[in-house]
Amino acid sequence: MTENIINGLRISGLGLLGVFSVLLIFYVVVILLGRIKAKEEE
Amino acid sequence: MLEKFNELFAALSNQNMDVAREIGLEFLGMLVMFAIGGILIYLAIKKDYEPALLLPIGFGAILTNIPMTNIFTGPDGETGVFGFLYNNTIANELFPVLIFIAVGAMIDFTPLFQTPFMLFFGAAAQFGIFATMMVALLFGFSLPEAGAIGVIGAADGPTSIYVANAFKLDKGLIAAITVAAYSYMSLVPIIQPPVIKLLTTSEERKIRMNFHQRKVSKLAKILFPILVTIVAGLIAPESVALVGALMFGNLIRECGVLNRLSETAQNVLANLVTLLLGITIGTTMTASSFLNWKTLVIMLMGLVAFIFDTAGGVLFAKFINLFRKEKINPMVGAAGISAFPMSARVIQKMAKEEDPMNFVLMQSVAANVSGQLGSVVAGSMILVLVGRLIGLV
Repeated sequence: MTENIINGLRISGLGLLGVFSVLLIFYVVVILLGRIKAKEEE
Repeated sequence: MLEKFNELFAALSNQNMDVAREIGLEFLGMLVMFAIGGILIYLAIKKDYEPALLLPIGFGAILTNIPMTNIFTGPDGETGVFGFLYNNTIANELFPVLIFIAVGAMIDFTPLFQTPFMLFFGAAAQFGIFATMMVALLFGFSLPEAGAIGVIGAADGPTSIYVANAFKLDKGLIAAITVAAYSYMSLVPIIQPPVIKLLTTSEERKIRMNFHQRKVSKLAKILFPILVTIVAGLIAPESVALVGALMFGNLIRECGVLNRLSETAQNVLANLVTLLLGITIGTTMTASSFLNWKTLVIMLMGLVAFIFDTAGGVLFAKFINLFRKEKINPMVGAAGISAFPMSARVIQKMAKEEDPMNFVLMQSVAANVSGQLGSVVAGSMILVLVGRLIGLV
């Protein structure tokens, strides 16, 4: 069980880091795409 | 049914108490599952708790526990009609993926483009997934079971089913996880407010936020789903089925030339798959697979997941406020949970209760929408990290 807990902690740490990292990349994508000017008729 | 009664009377007459006890427990299990099915139907109709899922699940639970119907598996192991449905729509992940196409077609990412910073609350509010996984491990669940239970915190039925299936969990556990995920999603208006009030002051809840309305270009909204799919796929290839389906649905919505397909995805596809998914999951809820301590704990874990999700989002907002001049209303962090659009509405309602002139709806919607992305990414992380550890991926 201890091994499971340690694995769980490792997965939690990496998992949260992974989620934040991926959403940081999406944040950059949104910022860059947000610079594309909207046409008046849209 | 008559045969079972005859067996019971025969066992009692011959004083074969072991057989009599076994048959008696079977009957008791059947009655308990009828009651559980009835409760789910009651919650769906009377309380309006996710009726599109809970009613079919409840009815399926009743169907499958009527003795000797063979609707799932026959006595010689042959597959019944609902067993066929399960094997070809849920066990092979088809239905979760189809639902995600429908969900993607329903999402409007415009608020996210208008307040991009809300993306980070979509990440923070997934804290509950990992916290719940840890609690499940402490309860003695195996790593894949705990990982799948944690994904209840994604507040996202298809992701929960997808991950639980990928880990090849027992059908009874998959059913319990599905019921927990959908039940607690409908309880968001009850679960979130007390947690938010516990972690924030009245002054914090009154914080007003500026919102800058601006047009988002159509090109940006078309490129977004494509780029998200590529990025997610390169980082975690195992996530492409879910993320890709979600983004495909969004692309057919935003492209502007597939309105019929978009409407079909949002309505016909969503309704048809939901209907069949619910009843098929329900038919896996046999007494023998559902009535055990693990199921009860899973139901409790669902509550734990949503509480930690809410806490994660709120506390992250408070942490960010330490570094920002323009403060964020910490309640908006709680909207990063994937229960869309319910959570955003709950947050706006709470903000209005504190200050009738406070409008945080757009920021809450942006956080809520980013929660949809965050939950899929978090589910994928569990799939990849746990899967690699157990040799699945």
